[in-house]
Amino acid sequence: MPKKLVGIAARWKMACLLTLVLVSAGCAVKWTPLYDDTLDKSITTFQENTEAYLTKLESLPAPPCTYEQNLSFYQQASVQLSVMQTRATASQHNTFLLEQISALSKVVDNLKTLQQQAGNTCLNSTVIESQRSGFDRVFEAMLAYELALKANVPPAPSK
Amino acid sequence: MAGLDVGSLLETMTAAAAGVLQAKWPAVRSFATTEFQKIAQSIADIGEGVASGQITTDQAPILLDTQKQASLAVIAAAEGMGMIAAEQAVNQAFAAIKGVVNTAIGFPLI
Repeated sequence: MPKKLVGIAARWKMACLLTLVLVSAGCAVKWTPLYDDTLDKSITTFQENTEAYLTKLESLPAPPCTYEQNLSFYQQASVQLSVMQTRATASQHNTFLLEQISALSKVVDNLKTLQQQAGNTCLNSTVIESQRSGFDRVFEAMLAYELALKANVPPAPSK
Repeated sequence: MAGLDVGSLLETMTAAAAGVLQAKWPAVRSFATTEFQKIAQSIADIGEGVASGQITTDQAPILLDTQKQASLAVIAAAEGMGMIAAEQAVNQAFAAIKGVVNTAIGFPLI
């Protein structure tokens, strides 16, 4: 290929590369999910329902405190978790959201197992409080992340 | 068309990104530290519960798994908040050079 054409091709390639870099530089990167108000409120509602249930368990005698007498809580929790998971799955960059929902689901499963193990007896306050502390940490983590997403506003470009 | 000074662009971008990270990282670290302190206390409480007989040997592993799941949720939140900080840092760096680049190019390319 003649030298002149090689020089023109090289300059054209450089111009295209520079344009690509500059245009890329002008576009904001997005590595995180958009804030989802519905998901945020779902987490708070789930927290309220869970706390209400744990408080109820602390005061109930047997048999009302047993797993068999409280199937509705676990059914409702399963539905709520499924809805949260669906919502998070539909979101981009959802890895951390899904990890948190998975953790929450497993903590619910642990509570279920504890109640099933207890059979016809009630969980004592020490066990309930230990589970409550686990739930509280998960909710705090989820809400902290949601608040951070809510506050994640793109910067104003310099003039 | 005025030339673009790569060194100057780099300095501007680095300063903008560092500013965001210095502002955001302490909050992420503080959150994670606080939460892990609470989890550590809860694990200690499980041990005391087993010792006092309030928690059975069947219940203890389940309660411990709950604390493990809580730890995973906290780590996910910290990673997520860190990613937000990184995203903001990169976007701030790009925003900081937009004016310089457009002036050098001679028209509002960006």
